[in-house]
Amino acid sequence: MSAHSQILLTSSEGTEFIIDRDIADKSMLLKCMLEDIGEIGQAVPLPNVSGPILTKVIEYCTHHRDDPNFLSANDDVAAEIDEWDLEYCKVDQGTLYELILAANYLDIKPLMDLTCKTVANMIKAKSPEEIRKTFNITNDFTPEEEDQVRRENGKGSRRLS
Amino acid sequence: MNAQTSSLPMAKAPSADRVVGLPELQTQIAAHLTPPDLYACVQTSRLWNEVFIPSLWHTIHDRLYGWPSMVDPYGYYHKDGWWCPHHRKTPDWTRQVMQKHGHHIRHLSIFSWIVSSVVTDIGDCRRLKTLWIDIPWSQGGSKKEAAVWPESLTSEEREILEGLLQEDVQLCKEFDSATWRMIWQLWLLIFRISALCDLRLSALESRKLDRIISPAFFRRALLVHHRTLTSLRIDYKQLDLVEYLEILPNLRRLYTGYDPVEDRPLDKTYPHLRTLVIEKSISGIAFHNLLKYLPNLEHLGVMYLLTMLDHINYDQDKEDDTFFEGDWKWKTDFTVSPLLDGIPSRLSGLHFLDVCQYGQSEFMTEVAFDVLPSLPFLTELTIDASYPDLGPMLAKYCKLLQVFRNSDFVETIHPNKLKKMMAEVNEMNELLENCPYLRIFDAIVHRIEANHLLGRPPWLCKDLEFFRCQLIGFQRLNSDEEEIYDEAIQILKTSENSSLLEEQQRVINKHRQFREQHHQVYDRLASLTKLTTLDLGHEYLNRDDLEYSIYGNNRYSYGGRTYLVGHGPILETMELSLASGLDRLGALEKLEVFGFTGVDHRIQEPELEWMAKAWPRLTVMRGIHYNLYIGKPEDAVTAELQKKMLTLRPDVKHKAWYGVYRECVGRLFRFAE
Repeated sequence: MSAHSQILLTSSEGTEFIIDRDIADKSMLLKCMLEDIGEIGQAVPLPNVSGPILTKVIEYCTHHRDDPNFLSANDDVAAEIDEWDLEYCKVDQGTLYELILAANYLDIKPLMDLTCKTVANMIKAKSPEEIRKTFNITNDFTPEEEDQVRRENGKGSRRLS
Repeated sequence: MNAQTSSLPMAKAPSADRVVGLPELQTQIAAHLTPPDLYACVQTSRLWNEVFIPSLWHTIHDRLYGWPSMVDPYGYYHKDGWWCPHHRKTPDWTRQVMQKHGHHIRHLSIFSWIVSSVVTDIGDCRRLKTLWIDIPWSQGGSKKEAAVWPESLTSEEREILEGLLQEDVQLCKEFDSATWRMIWQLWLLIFRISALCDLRLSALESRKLDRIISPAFFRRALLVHHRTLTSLRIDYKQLDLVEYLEILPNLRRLYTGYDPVEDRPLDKTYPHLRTLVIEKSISGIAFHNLLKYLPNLEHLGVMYLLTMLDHINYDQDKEDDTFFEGDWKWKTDFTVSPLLDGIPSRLSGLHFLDVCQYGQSEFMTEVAFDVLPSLPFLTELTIDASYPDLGPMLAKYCKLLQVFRNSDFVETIHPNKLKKMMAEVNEMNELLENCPYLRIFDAIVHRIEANHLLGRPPWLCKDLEFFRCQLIGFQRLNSDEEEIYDEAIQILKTSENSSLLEEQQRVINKHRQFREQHHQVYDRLASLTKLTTLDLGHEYLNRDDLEYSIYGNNRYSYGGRTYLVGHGPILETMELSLASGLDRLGALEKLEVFGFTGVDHRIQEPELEWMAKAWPRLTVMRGIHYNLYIGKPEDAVTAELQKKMLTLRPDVKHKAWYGVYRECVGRLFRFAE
């Protein structure tokens, strides 16, 4: 199979996308599928990914198409996010979560690392109340439970581990 | 890419709860969070609590974060490089939370006696991958009961512990009951863990293992039972290196406190060991033996290599004619190349951990002339002695060198305290001139003179990220000359056509020459645009002297700043003032750490203002920090500077080397982590 051949993908709403094979290979799901079944000449359905999200995913893979360290780039947990990636992740929370789920489903590890790191950055150095506010989470603890969680995992205002 | 039909409106976006609810994403997100962040997460909601509790308890290091304040009743806790005392005691709480969450722990590092006794007692931490124990066995206190075998042991426990002690050990004389209880519980815990990968019993207390634990038990309960071990730190002299390597097929890292090939050298190849740290000096023969039979060894750390002279001194009672015969370990003819059959070693990291205090001149000669030529693939060298040929030989034979580092035991750099160390100057400049891949040059015991530097070719190491070295030989006007200089400047300001006296002109020229010297060195440093650390100083780190300095009269003032008698400042250093050309370092945009502790600098508020703007990534400053024992900067001048810097850049931390030093020594050695 030629590395320059093209693949047809269909998003959840039926939108069709034609992408180069090397872009598709960034997704371990697509790579394995294409290696197993060869060129089928039909669209590959991606029922879990919407058109707009697939567009974003393809944008990411296209930007990194010649990156030799694509699979190992994000192994370093402490590594800083590069500028393009940082800009790429400036999306609303709903889109960010959809990207995480799509990266997880399509098995694109660097994109999953990037998006999870972005979520982690939204959590960092925040109090529980600030986290709830950021992620629109309801505090469903009873006051007793809340106190117990604090006692078991820290003592008073001190943070434990 | 072509979208061939118009896209439809998006379905309802997923919530954060749906994302964190997926197990494969929980660990991904948690991997980027610190324990305090995870602690905040578990307090957010029931779902987030359930999701993040395993991550919060995944790694427990009882010397970090809030742990020490809760579990160590007498000790100190570590914060921002300082050890702070506290007085809390909560064993019941420890027991309660360990019973509830202990099963989540995978990496456990124990410093506290309370945590250790609770963990070994409740025995719930059976899925550990890592277990590091670094505590004294003795609990302390005056009321001690003699140790006996407990009657409450189950038959399964008796079976596990069978043969634990060597036959001649008298339990009641060796231990009190509490210490003994912890020992047998610890071995039960070790045996019950299913797939331990990394075990460290620190040197101090594990040496007792030698005397009490039987080799058969040690072999069965630890080595044979944990063939999964990839990293082991233990001092059990009853077994030699061959046994460890034969029984543990996955062992990658081994740390020992004795020479493991002293009695039985290796006689076949073991390809799996990557790192070997021996916290002792070893013979040249042992060194050859290790290099020859551990072909994939990447890092080898030893205190230093014994030389022929050591052996003669050590073994002076031996008859001369039998000295080089008999036992192989006494053969001390120190030449690496013939013993390696002419095959260069592939070793990439060689680390001499404590050369400085022994002042090993013969050792240094041998390292320079015999060891280095056999190590063409060396990328890291740790050594803290100075020797004229070391730099040139490194530059000649080890072109791939990326890291040159003094060992972690450098307590002082002041010549009057380094009686045994040769005070060589400039020898390391050759390294900077000739090693293009050098990234870390952490060499504070070494000195380079400004004029030497400027008379030599430019540095080749353009990728250098870390520069720590003494730059000396910067001349300055003396106080009389400064007065003359000020007068001359005033005259020139009045009228450009004014003529100066001969003496005034001489001082003006001298000043210009000194400034030029500064400018050229600043430019040399500024050419290292990838630098993240630039440190020109070091503080005296002897704890006893530091403690004495609170009460004793052993401090003196120089240039408005306070120093310990006999330890500072480092003279003839760069001024680091804007007038001297500091702003030429503006190219160092990536600088994160700037150090000038002990340097006779002229940094004032305008310099701090410049640094605050020019170095946006600066996070640590070493030079105007607190004295550990008096809890504030040493003198009013330094205190004012710190106050100013905190106003300009509150994000910049002011840290002493003391914290780094303790941390380095505490966590073994930097290269081995």
